[in-house]
Amino acid sequence: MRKTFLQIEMEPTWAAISNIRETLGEILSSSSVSIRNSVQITATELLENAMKYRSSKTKNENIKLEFNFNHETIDIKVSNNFERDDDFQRLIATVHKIKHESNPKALYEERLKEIYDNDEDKQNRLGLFRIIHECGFDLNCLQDDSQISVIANKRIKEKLD
Amino acid sequence: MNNLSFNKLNIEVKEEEENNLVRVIWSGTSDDISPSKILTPFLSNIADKIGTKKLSIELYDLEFMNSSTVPPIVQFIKYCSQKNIEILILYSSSKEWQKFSFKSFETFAIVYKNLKINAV
Repeated sequence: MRKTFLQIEMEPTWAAISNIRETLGEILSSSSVSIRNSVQITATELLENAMKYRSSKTKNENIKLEFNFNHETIDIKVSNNFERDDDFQRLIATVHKIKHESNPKALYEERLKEIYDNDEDKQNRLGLFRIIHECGFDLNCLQDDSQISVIANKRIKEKLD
Repeated sequence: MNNLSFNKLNIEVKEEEENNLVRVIWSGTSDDISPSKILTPFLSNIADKIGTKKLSIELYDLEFMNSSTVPPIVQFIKYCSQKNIEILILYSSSKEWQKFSFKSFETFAIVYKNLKINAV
């Protein structure tokens, strides 16, 4: 039975995200397209969130990705240092909202309507909703004094070698 | 109307006079940090020049997009609706992520009757 654990410290550059996405695609080359795409989308959205919404004080610090894949579950954990600013509070509120909503499609479409109705809404904030709606992951977050981790988890039924 | 090549994303614009149609054909990968800076003026220009032609937004060859790509597409749909342009969105039924992402655009068809979304 195959198990995969990957831990990457990523320099906070946008180009590094596509490199990680390609690496995950290679690791999952023998998995179904559905699993490969859902992992690539989820990791990308979590890493992009960590990049976009980090504070100026932590913008040069590395972002950590942990990927754990076995025959039952996929876990993707992205951790970065943070400050308790508005973006941080918004992230916590969004994850809380997601955890207490049983209809991911409704949340995704609600956010689409907000984007449609408001031309001035420059932050798309769609990524977390996309993870639960498109990719079928659950979301959680952990925080200590200086670090926040957003964790995407999904139970799977893939037969591994 | 011009085509667009932007990082790993390509958008081809094909005008078909015989079908009274403009096809906007996406391919490649859209993963820029802020794609709206390029996509919004490019797509708005198409809507401004389309006249009475119908519009086909063809996304089936798009291999990957980040969530930042969604708002410029949504705003393009809205801008076209304000001009009463007839829109057909085509996505790939074989790409699971596209089914979730683009089928949800049907939510706009409730308020804009000239929008159709089909899988190919």
